Amino acid sequence: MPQTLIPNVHDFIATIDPFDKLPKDLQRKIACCIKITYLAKGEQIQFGGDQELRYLYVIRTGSMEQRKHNGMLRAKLGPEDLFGFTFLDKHKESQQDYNAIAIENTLLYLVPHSDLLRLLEEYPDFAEHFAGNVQVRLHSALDVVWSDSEKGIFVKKVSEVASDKIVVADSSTPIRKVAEEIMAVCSPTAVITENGEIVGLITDRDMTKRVIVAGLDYNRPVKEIMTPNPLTIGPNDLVLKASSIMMQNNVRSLPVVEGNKVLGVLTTTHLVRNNRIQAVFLIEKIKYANSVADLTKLTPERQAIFEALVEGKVSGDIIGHVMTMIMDAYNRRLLQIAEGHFGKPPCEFAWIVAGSHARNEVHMLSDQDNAIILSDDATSADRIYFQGVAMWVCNALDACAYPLCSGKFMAVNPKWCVPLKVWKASYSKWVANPEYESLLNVTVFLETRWLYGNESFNKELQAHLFSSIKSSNVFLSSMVRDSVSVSPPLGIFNSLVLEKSGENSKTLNIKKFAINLLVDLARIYGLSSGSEKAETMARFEHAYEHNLLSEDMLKNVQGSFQFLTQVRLSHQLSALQEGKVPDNNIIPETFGSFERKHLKDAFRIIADLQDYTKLKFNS
Amino acid sequence: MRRILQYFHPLNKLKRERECYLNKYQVPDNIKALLSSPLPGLDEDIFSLDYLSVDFETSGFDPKYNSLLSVGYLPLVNQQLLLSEAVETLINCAENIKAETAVINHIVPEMLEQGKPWAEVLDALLDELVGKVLIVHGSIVEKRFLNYYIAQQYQLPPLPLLWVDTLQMEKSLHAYKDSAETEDFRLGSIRARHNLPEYAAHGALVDSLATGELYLVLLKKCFEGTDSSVRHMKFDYSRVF
Repeated sequence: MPQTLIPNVHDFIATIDPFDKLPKDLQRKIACCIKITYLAKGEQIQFGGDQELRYLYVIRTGSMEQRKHNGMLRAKLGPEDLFGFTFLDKHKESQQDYNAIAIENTLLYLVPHSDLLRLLEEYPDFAEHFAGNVQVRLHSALDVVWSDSEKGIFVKKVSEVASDKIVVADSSTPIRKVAEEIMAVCSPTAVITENGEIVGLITDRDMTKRVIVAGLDYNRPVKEIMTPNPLTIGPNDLVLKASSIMMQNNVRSLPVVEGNKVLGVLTTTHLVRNNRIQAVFLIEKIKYANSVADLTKLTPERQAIFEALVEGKVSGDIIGHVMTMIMDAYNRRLLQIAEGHFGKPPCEFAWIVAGSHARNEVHMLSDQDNAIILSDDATSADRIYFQGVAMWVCNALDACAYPLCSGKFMAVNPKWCVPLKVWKASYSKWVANPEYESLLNVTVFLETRWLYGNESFNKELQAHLFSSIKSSNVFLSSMVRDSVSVSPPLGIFNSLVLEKSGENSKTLNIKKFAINLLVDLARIYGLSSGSEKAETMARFEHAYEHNLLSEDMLKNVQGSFQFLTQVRLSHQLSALQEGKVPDNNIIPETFGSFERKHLKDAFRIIADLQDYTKLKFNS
Repeated sequence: MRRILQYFHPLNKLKRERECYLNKYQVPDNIKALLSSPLPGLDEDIFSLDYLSVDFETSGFDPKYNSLLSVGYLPLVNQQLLLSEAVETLINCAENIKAETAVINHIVPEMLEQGKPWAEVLDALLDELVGKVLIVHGSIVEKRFLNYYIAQQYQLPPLPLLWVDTLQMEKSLHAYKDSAETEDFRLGSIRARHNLPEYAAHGALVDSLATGELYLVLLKKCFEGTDSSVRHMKFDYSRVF
């Protein structure tokens, strides 16, 4: 039978996700095996268990509703929406999860499962778009949005950029032999070890300076001329971090080290090869700014970097890290300038950051969350000094477009500028009486990160928090209760956000109804598994490593968090580009079928994780 | 009584006509196969029948003076229109194409040079029709051209086939209402009234698809909540000359 193209059908599917990602000829082949049917209002789809009768459904006109067997609404679907992915899963048994009913007269396009599988065998590269498994589908959505080739070098991992050519020599090796090896391997740097431990570093420049110019004997052991206790970088660190270390310490190469294993070397040459260096330059400029006025001038540059990162399709967690490093730089520099104004601090202290800043998840809307831990021997006069510094720094941050925290979680608030023992007592009280102390008020301090001053104060406080949580049997379950009290929406239907209750709202607050729900869940998993890292994804990973989450759940959650972050950041970007103040409220009209489909998946994953967590933590 | 009524049911009349036709005329094998395939029984479900939705593009209304330019059709089985079995063929006809029809269907002479002879195209259609009910929108043109072909090619009278006409079905929905707004019975306008998508391009296959979709809508509308057995279906038994 000749396959005759019906342009109208082809044109229609070519505009909707995921068909729009496919090459023309594959689109055409899929269009050619479509079956068209029509459901009158109230008619239900008879899902066939038989493979031959399984379809991917595309709504051409009309609308449908999916309900679980207990009658709960699962989704509402309108024109251009797809359903039936779960039936494509090979492992899926014939019994279906839900019913689909036409709530208006509906013209449906049916893509037969068997034809789709056959075609995707011819085009394996595109199979992911049609995965029955939601995590694979979300993953493919992320691939479409983030293309690696467009990422700037500074948001890459060190391991992707560094050279694996490096000389490793024992400290007793003669200088001449190390020099020969350096020449042979074409690496400017040698790492010097002693009993397998890294003890020093030597570069070809050092050789020139310390051996030739100094007229030293080539046969002396390299130990005598090496730079001891060298700075190193991990393979998974961002290049941005590495370059920042190199600039701060004025070194030209950093060995890439994992544990005591030398993996390679990162040199300045690797960095200039690609020049998306703005973020590094900005951090340098911040470091040398001498006044608040200087710093406020840098705000447009920061926004430009943010825009470049979002436009460059850099993944959300990396954008968060870069924006955090920049915010750190502002905050540190302001503390230094403040010391110039107010004089040296009269006692030991730590300046810590909390909330999204502590989680390394800063974006263009982030406000400041910070606090001061004072030494236990601080006098009341000392506290007045720190109040003054805090007032000055918080206002200066505000002037630099890091708005004051509406919840007053700032060092300027006397409540959050107290000695370590007071902090510890507060944490004990929160953990012991989670009902009494409204948890919402303190969650921001459940993640803190040291920024300036005495780092050990924060470490001690964190250790105290973890041990308090371990000995409490009510804390985590009441956190769970708190966090699952907000449900994610079901999806987007008719340009409205469809709530679980069946109600609609006109805008999607992506922070409140999606991202925060995951951040809260991550906090629960992070705290219960004792994760030292506070990043949302790192917490989930830690929980997975400690068997609190299955691999499947982890991947689902990773995919949805990344997708939601990307939607949020793109929304902020378009607001900035239109000269508006960015917010978290997205008008669903801006969503195409691509966003609608993947948001629905992400919301469902959050709801599933909430249910699972409720059971797990018995609340 | 019931039996007498059944005897006079037009579908049974058509059945007898077919038997007569086969007895009376010497017919080639393909037509024999077509006319001897069973017609639907009166108690069968109208939704379960096999259909072929068909559209002809022509250069005019009279087959004596105008030509058949292209034929498009696709089956409707189990309430599903099968795009994989869709066919659209241009016909290589000698007649010069008039500018005004080319405007409508975008068929220009150069395209028809690559077309197939009409006998090949229409015989393929006849083969495809075995065991199926024809769906058309406004049956006059298709009936005239098909009759003309049967007469020219086989020297036979019009074939007793089973047709449904979405135009008549739509009109019967409005039979008891008199409103100006329902005077527009063009395929696109009817579809719009039923919230079916607008199909921009014109062509035999697209129109046959548009007709097939409309037929599904009308069937659901006519038989909503009622007995959907074939005896209650108003097929198109009209004859054209």
